[in-house]
Amino acid sequence: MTSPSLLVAADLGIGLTCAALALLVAVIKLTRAVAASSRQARVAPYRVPVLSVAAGGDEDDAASATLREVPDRDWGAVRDVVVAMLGKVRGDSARTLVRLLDARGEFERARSALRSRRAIRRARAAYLLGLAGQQRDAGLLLPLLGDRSAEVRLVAARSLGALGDPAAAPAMFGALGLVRGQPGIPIAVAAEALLNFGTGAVQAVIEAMGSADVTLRAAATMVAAEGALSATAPRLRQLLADEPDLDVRISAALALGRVGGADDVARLAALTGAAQPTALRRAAALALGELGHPDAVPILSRLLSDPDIRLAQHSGDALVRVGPPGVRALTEAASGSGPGNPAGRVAAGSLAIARLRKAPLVPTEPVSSR
Amino acid sequence: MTAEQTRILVADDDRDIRDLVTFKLGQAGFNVQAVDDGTAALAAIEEDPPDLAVLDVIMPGLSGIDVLRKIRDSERMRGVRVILLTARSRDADVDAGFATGADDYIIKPFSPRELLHRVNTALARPRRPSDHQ
Repeated sequence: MTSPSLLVAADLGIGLTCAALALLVAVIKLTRAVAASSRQARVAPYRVPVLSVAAGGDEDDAASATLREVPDRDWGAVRDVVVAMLGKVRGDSARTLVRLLDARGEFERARSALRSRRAIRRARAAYLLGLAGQQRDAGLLLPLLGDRSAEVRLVAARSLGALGDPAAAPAMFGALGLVRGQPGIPIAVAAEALLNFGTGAVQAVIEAMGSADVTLRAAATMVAAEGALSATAPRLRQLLADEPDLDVRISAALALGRVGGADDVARLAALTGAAQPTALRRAAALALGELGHPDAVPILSRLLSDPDIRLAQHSGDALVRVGPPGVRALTEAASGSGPGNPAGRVAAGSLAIARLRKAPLVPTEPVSSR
Repeated sequence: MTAEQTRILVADDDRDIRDLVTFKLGQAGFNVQAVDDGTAALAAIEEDPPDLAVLDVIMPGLSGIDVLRKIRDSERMRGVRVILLTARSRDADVDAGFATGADDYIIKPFSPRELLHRVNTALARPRRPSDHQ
């Protein structure tokens, strides 16, 4: 074959391949559109009953009865709408939707599907069991924290959080580390789940604070801070003294602000010193505000003139949180605000923001600048 | 004013939520109009201000907060009561909603029954006065 013939053949081949791909894309799109349309048509007669049940207005059980009797050929499409709706409502509405799905055998099917070979089926099943909110399913979901699929592990963690069984807390911390050589679940997901476990998870949180794995310590201090777990205070003080990781120390400082006491003012004040890392100084200032003890007022007042403007602003906001003594100190500082008095400007700014937020104990009239 | 005469606008880009809120409030006898983005919500409110608007915070076009800000900045629309319905549950988000002038703030997932109570409570309050009042 001559060179021109080869070129023509190649062009033809490329053209045919492109045309085949375009046809394939068109067919796929058309198939999807037809499937979506078919699903909508199947759901349409049942949309009002679904809304009625989800709205909590099915006092006579008529809508639920209609949905319990949906023919199997239509149920798959209707079920997806019911599940979607279940993720958006709570209270009686959610409980009625759960009863409906239970009556249709969806949870039993989901329990079996947790062992499916397909990751998508395991993930869907885990999601549904989380929505169902039955704590007895926590034991079935726990093994999925070590699933070979990262997506399944993530869904299982969220669902366990939704179930709120504190017995799952140690496994949740365990899922933060490497699983089958892959990164564990994200800290934020684990922390959110652990927060849902409430005070029942506090022992696991304290143990994780002593872990050799910095990820576990970071998650534990985040949970201690957000959950205001007062039993973690002694361990937080220890972390502030000997923790090598800056992020963990920052979380520990913030947490101590939530759960600490008067004795912690000096400990947190020391962390606002100029020799400390900037982010830690800022966190310690905020924590002093959270602590709300009047002994923090002189420390925070001094920080109003710190060269780090963010630290100064945090200190102003913290003074508002301390309450009347802090507000008095801010008002005094703001009365001297002017070009040569940065602390006064910061104080005036903090008072103005507090007024916008309608924070209590702040004078309603702005402080006049001199 | 009877429930039938009370006009409520619902704006949410999630069809399920939009249909559900519309259904619940319609069942209670309110005259409900629904739109699926912030721009359409603002246009509907500008055209004929309703008694109350239930706004999602995160929507295509204008956000619920943007719409609320424009409502409160307009003398004609200022009296519209606004309930924000959103998945954003952090204290700072709630603070921002109220600071912008929301009458109430409901976090998703929500209870439709509670939503109805809150709508009735908001409607029982007097409208915000305009500058001329």
